[in-house]
Amino acid sequence: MGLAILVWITSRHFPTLPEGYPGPALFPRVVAVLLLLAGLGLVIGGVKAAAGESQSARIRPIALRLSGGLGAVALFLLALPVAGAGPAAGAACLLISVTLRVRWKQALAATLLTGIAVHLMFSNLLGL
Amino acid sequence: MTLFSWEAAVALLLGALYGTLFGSIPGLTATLAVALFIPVAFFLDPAIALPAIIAISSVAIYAGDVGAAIARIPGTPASAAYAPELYGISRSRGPMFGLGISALGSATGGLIGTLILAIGTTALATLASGFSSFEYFWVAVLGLCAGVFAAGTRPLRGLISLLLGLLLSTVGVDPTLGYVRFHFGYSSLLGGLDYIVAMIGLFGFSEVLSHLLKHRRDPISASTRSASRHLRNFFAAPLRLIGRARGLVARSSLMGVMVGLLPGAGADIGAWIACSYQKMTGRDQDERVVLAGASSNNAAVASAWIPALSLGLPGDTVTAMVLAVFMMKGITPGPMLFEQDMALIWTLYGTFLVANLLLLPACGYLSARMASFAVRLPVDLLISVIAAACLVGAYAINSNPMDVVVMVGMGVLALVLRRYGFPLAQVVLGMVLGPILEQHFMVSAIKSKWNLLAFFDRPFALLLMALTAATIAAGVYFARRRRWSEFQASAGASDSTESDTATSS
Repeated sequence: MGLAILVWITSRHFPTLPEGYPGPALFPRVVAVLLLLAGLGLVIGGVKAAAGESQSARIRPIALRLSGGLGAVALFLLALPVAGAGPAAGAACLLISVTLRVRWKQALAATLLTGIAVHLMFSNLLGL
Repeated sequence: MTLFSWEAAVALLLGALYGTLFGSIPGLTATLAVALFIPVAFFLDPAIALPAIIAISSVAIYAGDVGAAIARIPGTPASAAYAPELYGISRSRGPMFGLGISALGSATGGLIGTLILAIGTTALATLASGFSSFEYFWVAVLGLCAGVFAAGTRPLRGLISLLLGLLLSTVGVDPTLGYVRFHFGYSSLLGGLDYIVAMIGLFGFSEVLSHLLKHRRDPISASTRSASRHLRNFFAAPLRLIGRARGLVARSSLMGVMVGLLPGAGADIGAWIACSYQKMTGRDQDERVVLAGASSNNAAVASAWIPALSLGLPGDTVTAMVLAVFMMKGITPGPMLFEQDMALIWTLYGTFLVANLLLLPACGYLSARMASFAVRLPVDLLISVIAAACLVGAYAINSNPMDVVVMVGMGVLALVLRRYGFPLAQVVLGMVLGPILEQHFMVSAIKSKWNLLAFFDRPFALLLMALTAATIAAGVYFARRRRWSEFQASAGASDSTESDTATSS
């Protein structure tokens, strides 16, 4: 519902067509109104009752693993312009493997194979 | 040169293998595979180049299901319509069975599409050429309504997912008037959010994030290991299913043909409508949903050639490139082509038959063997490789680092949506149909000087509107029926538990 309101506010300054007909703001605003109504419907229907699974109590390992995952994204983006797609993908694969405590031999094999496959397919064939 | 020459046979085989490779890798699509082949096609005889394109596109569209079977990453928006079901089958009964349904369903749909292509090209193309922006608007509305009710007993959540997809589709340049919306100062968002990037994030990277958060072991069932050894799981069992569900295959293929022949509509909407109707009726055994989607999308691949051959209008992006090959070779598509170069036409029909009868099952089997090997790898290792594939796949589409960020954002969004029971596939449907819906609405409205009654004036538009209304009515009816049967089943279960407790005490 918050998103719907945000879209409505952001689209205030979109231009209109000649003779006052609606322009580019029409479609997002119609979708925003429908989203607002559907959100209200969901609230009335009792979304809280269905609000899924219980929280894990072990916050610290989760935070570590999640930062490992997001670190892999950052590592990929940093390594990409310097080393190319193959090594960047290999590095991301290695970091996730380490985060998930994959056996080191398997992790190294997967890293090498991923790096080589990506290099051949994306860098050599597609020229990334 | 004919289809039976060794050069053509080699081109078909290489094209099919190339299509399998491209379709199986997240981020690489059938369109990209054909686009990269076009410079090669320039040096080839049309009787070799065109069959190779048919082989590439037919097999690559199927191969988009391989990622869905291994890791719930659909390769095409059409595959997204049944990716969760295919993933579920692959986990419970093995990827050989899941991809067998997909490959043989695709082959059957492709054969039906080819048959219709051979019989009714001119008549159907004339019908499609009568469609204006009003009819396209109603086709998009029909696709959206069917998508909402494909969410099973929770259509409201399906609607919210769909609206989120529609909102995401408004990022970038407005398709009608060219005004830039919601780009927040980032020039890389001017072109909008790529739905392939979104799909990789929604289905693939969310799986990585979910695994990182829960770190659960997701063991492959014993049936997966044993099933993958048997050839019959790929051929015999799916063929028996197709035999039992022949009405469903015929209906879904026909839906694929009818939507696929509309220029610009393509296989995606056809597959979505076919899957949605299957899910809506409540008989949503996963196998049948996958069969409906697979047969519909490959039927649409064949039917997209109908307007291309007879009117020179591209049915989808692949046939748009085919028309470029026609131009390069000095061939003018249209009614005259059927009088002047019937040999080429028969070669194309023959190629579709060979691609669907031989190449698709053979390449399908090959890819299913690879997939069954992949799912036997330790889950943590597979997740690491999937994460790398998601990152490279998202970047490869436009060579844009911003796409990687968008992909990660979509992964986080998917994680939240999944946690609260919102379906993901509807987000992709909204992103695909959003621009079509908006463009055709605005064009129709401007054309009719904002007289909205014009949307109900034309006979085909009225027919499509009636189909939309019938879809909504059927969707509400089936959703209520399923909810009632679920309620009765849970009430029956609690009654039996109470009586068991009473007996034991």
